[in-house]
Amino acid sequence: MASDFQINSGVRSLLAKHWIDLKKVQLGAFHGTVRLTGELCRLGGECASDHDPRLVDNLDAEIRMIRGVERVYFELTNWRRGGGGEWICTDRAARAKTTTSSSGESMVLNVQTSSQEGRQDQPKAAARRAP
Amino acid sequence: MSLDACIASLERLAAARPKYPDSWYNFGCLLAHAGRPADAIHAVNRALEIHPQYVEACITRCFLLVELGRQAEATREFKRIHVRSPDDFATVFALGVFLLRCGWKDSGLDVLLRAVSMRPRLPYVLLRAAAASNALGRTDEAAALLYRARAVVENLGLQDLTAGLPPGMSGLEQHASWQDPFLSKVFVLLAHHAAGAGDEDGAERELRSACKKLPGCQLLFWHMGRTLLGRGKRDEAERWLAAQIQMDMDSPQAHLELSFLYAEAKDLERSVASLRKAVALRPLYPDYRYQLGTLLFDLGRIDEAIEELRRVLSIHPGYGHASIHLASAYLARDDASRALEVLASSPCADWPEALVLSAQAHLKLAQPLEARAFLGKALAKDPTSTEARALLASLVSCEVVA
Repeated sequence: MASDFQINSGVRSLLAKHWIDLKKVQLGAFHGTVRLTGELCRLGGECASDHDPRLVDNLDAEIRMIRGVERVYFELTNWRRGGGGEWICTDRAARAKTTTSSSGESMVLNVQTSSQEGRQDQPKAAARRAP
Repeated sequence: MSLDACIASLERLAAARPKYPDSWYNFGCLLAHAGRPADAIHAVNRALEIHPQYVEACITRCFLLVELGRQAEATREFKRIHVRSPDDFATVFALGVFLLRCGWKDSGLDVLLRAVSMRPRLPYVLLRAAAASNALGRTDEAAALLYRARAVVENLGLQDLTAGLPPGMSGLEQHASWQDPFLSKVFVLLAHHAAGAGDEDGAERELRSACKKLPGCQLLFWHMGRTLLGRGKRDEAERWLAAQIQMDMDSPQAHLELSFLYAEAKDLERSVASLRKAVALRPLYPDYRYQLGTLLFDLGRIDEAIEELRRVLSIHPGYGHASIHLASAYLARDDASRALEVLASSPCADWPEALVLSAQAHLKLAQPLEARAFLGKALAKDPTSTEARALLASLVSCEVVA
């Protein structure tokens, strides 16, 4: 039977393959039970696949393939189970809230128009870059 | 993936997670790299509003202020950062580059030489100092620094890196362009986006090229090692991680990854040695100690495991995984009362595996009723728990016999 540490190692390796940010998720194996707690998100930035409900299901399936793993628990702050048992990324819900106005029209975060600090210096910056 | 697509993606992420400083900082780094300092500083400011002590973001802000022509303000801010951590290598190196950016070549070189003295084997630091030295006409000094960088890289035996070195003094100018503290982060973000788009080869290529440009950069080498490990290229991953340690003794993450690599190769003693080095470098970082405690427990070195796991909980009392292993270690020492104490005060108390452990501890204390109650709770939490079912079945059969 694989030791807890070897299971930890296998799970970390798998999460690395998926570019999961290990600073935000805590993982531990105990007698074949793997538990992931915290926030499950990828390193750096967002990809189309990051909010795909299959992300957690795929991870679940792949972790179960690791030798010695019998059970996997996910206790995540940014994913929850829906009524039908499917995984829902709560960041995605937050995003929908942020990017949709009350009238339902799509809004785009525009740093160019909201950057007061940047705007006042923009001509200078442009001038410095000209050569 | 193109830089624009990556920026658009990070913009969406920052909008989705407006309270996460990392999202804003990463977004700012890409904007800065794309030559949009005005937008970048807005994003970096958002990160700093959430996390005012975010040192990387503070330093990046100073560079952006210079880009925006606000040099005096940038200098004042950088002074404050430096005063807070005058002996932090990353800050000192960034300060040297910052001073050069401001046009203070002599001071910049002096500070860079201090960074060299702090990390004498880091090629990207040696090369940056060589370029600054060469720009001042101090060609002998520049040649010596370049020679040292070449010697370090050639000793590592990584052909990728050797090929990336400047052929001579003329090539140093190219290295003088590494002026941004966020550059390594940008490379990682681009690699991540390539991987996210399913282009794992592209991600690896991106990291290889970045490691060539910044030989010795901890963040890049660590990602390179992890990426290779994730792709099953263990031997190569080991070479990159070992190279990082050879160049920079202060690389706890490289030791940690090596310990996992050795564990997968079933060389557990080497794994312990690597973990001990990681712990020695970051004694207050709970994760390294937790991994060490778990490994020692697996090796049957229970007393040492208890020691490490207790320290984890003294640093981070809410570390549930450590509580479970510590309770299990106490049980292995037949100290059921302590096991129960650890579990009762832990946030993991309601985890099915903790409930089963509590039941085992009560059984050791000849308290079958309490054990049964805990097993009931475990099964309520997870009806599929085979350990809880098996223990309950044995408890019931004992009762029948009695």
